[in-house]
Amino acid sequence: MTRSARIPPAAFVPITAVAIAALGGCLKPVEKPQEIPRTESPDHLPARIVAPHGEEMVLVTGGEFSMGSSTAVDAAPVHRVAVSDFYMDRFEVTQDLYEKIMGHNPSRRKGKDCPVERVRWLDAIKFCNARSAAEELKPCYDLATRACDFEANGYRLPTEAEWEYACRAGNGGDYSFGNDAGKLESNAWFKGNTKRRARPVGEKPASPFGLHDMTGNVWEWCNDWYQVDYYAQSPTTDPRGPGQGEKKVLRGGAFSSSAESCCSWTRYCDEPGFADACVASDDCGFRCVRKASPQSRPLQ
Amino acid sequence: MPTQKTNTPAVLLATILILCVSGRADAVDGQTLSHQGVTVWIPPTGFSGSAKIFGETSWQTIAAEQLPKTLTRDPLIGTDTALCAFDSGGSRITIYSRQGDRLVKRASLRPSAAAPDGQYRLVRNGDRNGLGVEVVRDGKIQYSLRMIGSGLLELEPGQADVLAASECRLSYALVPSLIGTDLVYAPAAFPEKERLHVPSMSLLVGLVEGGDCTMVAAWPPGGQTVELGLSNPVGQRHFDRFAVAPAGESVFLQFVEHPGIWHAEPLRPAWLEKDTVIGWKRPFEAKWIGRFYIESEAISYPFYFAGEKRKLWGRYMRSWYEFPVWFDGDRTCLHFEKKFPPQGDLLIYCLEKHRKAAGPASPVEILQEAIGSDAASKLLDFAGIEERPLLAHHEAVCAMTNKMQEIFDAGNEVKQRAFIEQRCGDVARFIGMIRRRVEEYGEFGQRVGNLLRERGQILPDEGREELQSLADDIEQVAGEDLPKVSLGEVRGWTDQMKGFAAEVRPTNAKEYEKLARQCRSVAGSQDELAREESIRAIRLMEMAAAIGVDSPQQAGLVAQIVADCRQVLRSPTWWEPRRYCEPKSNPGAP
Repeated sequence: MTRSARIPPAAFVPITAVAIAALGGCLKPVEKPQEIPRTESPDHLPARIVAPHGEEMVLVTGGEFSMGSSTAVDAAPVHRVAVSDFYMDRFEVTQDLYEKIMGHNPSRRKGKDCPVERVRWLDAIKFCNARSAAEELKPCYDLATRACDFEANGYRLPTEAEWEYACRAGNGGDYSFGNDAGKLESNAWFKGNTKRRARPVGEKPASPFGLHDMTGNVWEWCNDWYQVDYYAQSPTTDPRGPGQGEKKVLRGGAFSSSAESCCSWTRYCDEPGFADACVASDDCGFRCVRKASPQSRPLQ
Repeated sequence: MPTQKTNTPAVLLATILILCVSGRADAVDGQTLSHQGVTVWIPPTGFSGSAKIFGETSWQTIAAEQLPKTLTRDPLIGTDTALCAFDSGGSRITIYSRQGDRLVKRASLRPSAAAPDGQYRLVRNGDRNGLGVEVVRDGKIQYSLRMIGSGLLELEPGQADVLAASECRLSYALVPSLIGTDLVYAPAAFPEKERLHVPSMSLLVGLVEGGDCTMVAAWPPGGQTVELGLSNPVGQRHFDRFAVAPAGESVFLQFVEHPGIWHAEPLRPAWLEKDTVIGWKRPFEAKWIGRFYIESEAISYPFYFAGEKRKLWGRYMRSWYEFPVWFDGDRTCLHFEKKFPPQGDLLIYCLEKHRKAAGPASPVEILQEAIGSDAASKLLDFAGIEERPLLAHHEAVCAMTNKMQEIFDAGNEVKQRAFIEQRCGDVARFIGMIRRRVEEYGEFGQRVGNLLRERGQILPDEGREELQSLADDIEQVAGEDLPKVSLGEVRGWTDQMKGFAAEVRPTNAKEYEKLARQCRSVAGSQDELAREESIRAIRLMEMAAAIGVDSPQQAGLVAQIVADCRQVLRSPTWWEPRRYCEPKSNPGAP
């Protein structure tokens, strides 16, 4: 079956996501991984997988959605995009995990369960490769060219389209819970409810897709180069960003961000850190994705 | 008879002469006096606003030696750039800018003591060049207006307790501060207000509607209070009135005319992440400033236009970014990016010229001329703008540790032991210096916090709480966010690093790397803290100025807070915003 045949052209979100969304509202912040019933498992993929260190990834079932917003110059035009299935870290990469994999913790404000911060894009892809290597997966990145092998089964950063699709979790509004910025307080860590620091991951409720802290806490690096007018020329299926650029995309807003900066469609960017100084920003972190395949390790 | 005949022509001649002289006297009843670039005109009737007086050659000339001289008619005093017309016994003065024969009315002055029955006395301008007019009533000098050849006028208050200029149509009013930020007042920010009380910092610059004129007012330090009056809230509002309660000191005033002397450019969202050239061109060489709102930092900051397109790291904003304003030849270029998206207006103005540059007088030059160079330098605190001396080699911890890493990686640590020992010492010293800097901010936050707790009740509730919270934040951040590593521990690390240079061992590079990373982490956190705290201090300065505008008492408290902000913001480190900061690469980078 070809990808385009599998993606329902008019559906905003797949049935699976809708089913998860219906349950998502009942989800509370969780201490340990929970299984979420699925109504559909494309290609019999597990709904969740867990890595040796215990990190959990959630299957984001592919679909088509309206990406962007007419509100911001760089988020326009709103355009239809289809993304394939992928697994995404349920939480932002924690300082604990980063230290386990990389042997050090660069974060400005230390906290085992807090997202790792002060990492640049380059640090993030090095982590992805190291994490892949630790699990004997094929690394996605060529660290010399920084090119990403999307066919490899290892960890990588999400494309901007994957990230937005996952963040929206089927909601066409500004946030995964709609347009009401007043609900941000109970759903995310942002400037309105936290001071100066990222908070431990997973303290706020999961999104309808079962993902935590997609909104707020720390900006999350994406794989794509940032280009202000990319949406005007973006491919409609699995867009992977411009071929080159100077800055990499960051998404989701952070503890330091305004409500608008936390919108699902808000794009941000920064230098990737190829040639840089001592430290990076303390509000930038990331989460990883993996190609969805039947060989993915099931939740244990 | 012959005698009679002889006398007749003489009488006739005398009669004709008398008639001629008296006839001429009837026609030429204006008088004029020029002295050291300043001219006084005393027209026969009231001044109509016509420039005809400049071409008048037949008026009687008064010699400077005749001064002081009492006048019974309303005089005009002026230069080739300015003209002041007295009216109604000195109860009003209309100020015009003059370009050749073209007069543009810029303001009306109404010194509070003046009354229609005042008399004028034309005088020399004391120790300065030029001329002056004293307005006298009941034998007392109500006020004096003096002028020098540059067009700078001095209002000496005499009996006046308020010197007010009206009809001045200022689109913005600036209270410049070369340390920290200029306080910019825009009528649109105060839609409900009829007047604003602003801190008296001896200099006020008004950007006059149209972009071709600035009003510069200056006065020596003292107990003055300053008020701005807003025009009727219909349509585009202006500051129409500017008043100083002079506390016995002179107020100096000059309208500086030049096409394009200031400019407001509406920033368009479509300029995001693009190099953009705008239509405004700098009209003369000066230290041009482009001021705009940085949402992420919640401040407006006056960036000095750079001489070329450059990148900057870590000063003003985090990480790398394109410097937002620069000149490329005569083109004015902007670059706004996600860290500071284009929104609102970019306000372009200048306060200073480059040394000895041609062009109209700058506000700083006017202040210098008004109150003297020494007093002006002290007020403006040029020394405080200079960067804090840190290390002579201008390397921060990042660059130092990177250089040492290269030496360790090459196995040259023993050969370059002296260098390593010196740099390790510098790493510890540098970390100590920046820590002290952050602590200075903490002490400042505490001082301002206490001041607001003691005296802040006079400020509006809402603004006061926000201000108090910001001051408390500054104190807290310095206390809580400094890395929990003592300077003794840091010295311990650097001592170990020095020790690795004692003998070549295969583990040296790796062990050095680990300790260097620890040093860099501490240093990086502190550097960023210094930047963040300086931004908060600038925000506090702006916020206080915007909040405390309802009374002279509020403005007085604001002036005290602003003075403390200026004190802590002086001598910035490499990561803190600084005037005249020519963009350069990260000092910490290798």
